[in-house]
Amino acid sequence: MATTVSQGTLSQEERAFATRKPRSLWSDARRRLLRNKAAVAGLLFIAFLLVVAVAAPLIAPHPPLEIIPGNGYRQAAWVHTPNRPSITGKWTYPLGTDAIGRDVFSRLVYGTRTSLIVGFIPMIITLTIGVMVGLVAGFKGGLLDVGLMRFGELVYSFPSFLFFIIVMTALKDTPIGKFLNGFLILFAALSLVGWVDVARLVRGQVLSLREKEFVEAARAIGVRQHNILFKHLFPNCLGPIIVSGAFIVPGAIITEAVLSYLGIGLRPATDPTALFPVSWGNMILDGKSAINAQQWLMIAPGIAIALITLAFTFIGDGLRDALDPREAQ
Amino acid sequence: MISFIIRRVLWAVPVLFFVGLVSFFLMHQAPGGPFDQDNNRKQVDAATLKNLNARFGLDKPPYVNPRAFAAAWKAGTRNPFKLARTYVDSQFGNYMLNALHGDLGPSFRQRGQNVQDLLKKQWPFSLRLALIALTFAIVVGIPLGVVAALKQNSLADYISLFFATVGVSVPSFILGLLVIIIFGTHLRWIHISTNDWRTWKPYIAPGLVLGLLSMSFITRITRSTVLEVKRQDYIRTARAKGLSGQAVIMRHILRNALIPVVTTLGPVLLGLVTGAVITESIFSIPGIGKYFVDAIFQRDYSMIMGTTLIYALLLVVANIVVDLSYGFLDPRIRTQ
Repeated sequence: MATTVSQGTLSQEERAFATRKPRSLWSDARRRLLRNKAAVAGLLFIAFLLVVAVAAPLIAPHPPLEIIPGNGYRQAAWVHTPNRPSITGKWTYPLGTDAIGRDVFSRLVYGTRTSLIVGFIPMIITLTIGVMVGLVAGFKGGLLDVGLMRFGELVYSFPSFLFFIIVMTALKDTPIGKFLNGFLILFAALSLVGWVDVARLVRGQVLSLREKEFVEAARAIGVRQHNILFKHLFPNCLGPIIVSGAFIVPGAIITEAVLSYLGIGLRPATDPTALFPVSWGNMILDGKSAINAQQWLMIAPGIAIALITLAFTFIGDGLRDALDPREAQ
Repeated sequence: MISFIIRRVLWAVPVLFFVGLVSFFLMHQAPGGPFDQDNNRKQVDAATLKNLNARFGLDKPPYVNPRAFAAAWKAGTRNPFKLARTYVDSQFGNYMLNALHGDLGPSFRQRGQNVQDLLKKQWPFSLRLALIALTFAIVVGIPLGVVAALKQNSLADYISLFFATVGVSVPSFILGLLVIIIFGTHLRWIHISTNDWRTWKPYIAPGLVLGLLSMSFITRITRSTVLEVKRQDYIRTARAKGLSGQAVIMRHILRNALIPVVTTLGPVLLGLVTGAVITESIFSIPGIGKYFVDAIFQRDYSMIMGTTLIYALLLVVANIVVDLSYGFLDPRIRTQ
């Protein structure tokens, strides 16, 4: 029933309501996210790390790979050992040095870069593969759907942690494994496993969405299939996709750290101009062998990894609450 | 229900085959073999090398053996089982067939020992660690989640939610290393190197470290499902007909809220098993995980492969058990 209402019959409030900018799902979600203090803290912390990563050469007091002979295992700046002047803490090396005299604080600063890139790139690849497979499987259905999902189930049943270990151990010393200091193989391994979760999620969404009236309407007016997929179905799956992306990042960061700690992650860089010279996982591996000699070598990257994963978990939780209207109360 | 069990068990076959195939394929890409010529050591002469390769079946093709099949066919063999056996008379085929009989082959690094013998010696230590961690996760995790949900937005809720979030996101290997530094080298509450792993006491610290992730996970899930159930109409009905608060919680809320919790036990067990690998190596517990990590450092490929198969089997069984268990909890699933 369409009624035309003249301006005069509206009260002040009604007019304000009718003429204000419409609130979209996304602006609602953004407001909900920004009201979540933990998520905001997480976002601020990641923004801070991004700045640190980009400005690493300005922040780090020493080059991360600079070896200073006779400077090994210097203690953190506030630890003084008057009897042994060669290892007493100095503020030029705030967190001390490692076995061959490299500054721990500078390495920590540069390690931010590695952690962030290891978190984000696999997330993007994983989401891309997962979304493609999920969209196609859900939309086309039939044998293709069954095949893709069965294959996904097979991949999923491979314990992912063991898969990473096997891939990295087996391929570490091959040309593929050495390419880009091991980044390529690490990204590939991380993305090969994670896509199944995303694909299942997207497929489920597509299955329920494709029967909805707006898709039927689009089909009825002759919209092409891939336009239905990408313009009608995909935007409606975005919420859950973003949430799962937010949880992939800390997983990838932890995996890199664990693998590097096992000595099968990224290779230690030797090129002083390398963009990603240090990984926190490698630092922890160095620190474990010096657990009594220089504890900050391990504590510092340990805390850094704990904080970055905590920040991403906060963001992920916040996004889930913001984007899932059922959970929002 | 029975057909469901059969289907779940049968699905384990392609899964284990796939795990074996992928691991074997990848291990095969690694440069170097078990009897490689090492210029720094005593050389193995060509004849010995040939004998060694024949002894361990390394002279056979990696995946399938069509030549042996053709030879058997020419020789007049028509028994399909025997023909099939010749076709898979390869390194991979023999490995998997031996694995079926519980023979995982010799370790590349531990001289004169088979992988299965090594694993047999170590699993009791891993089991103790896993038991402590799992008990801790369930006994603390579920009540914490229930309390948090029943007193939503109270101080208790915020505190348990905060610890659960920290526990979920801080990786256990970092927690383990920090625990060793703080309680081991500074406070000296726990021993780092000298422990009698045949007693239970030294397992407490590593068990708590390993269990924290699972505990936090369980707390979070329990909290959100209890919150969901609390709002249902049948809970309001139960309260309206005058049931005591305790009866509502125990009989109506908990029974319904725990089903989703049980479904997450699969991932929880997976986390425990894989987390145990790192925890054991950090605390030097002589379990499967520690030997697995040692095998990684030593590039003991047969040990890595064997352990992977065992872990995969463990996880497949755990998942089947979890699937069956919510059939028992939820009558709606049982009838399907």
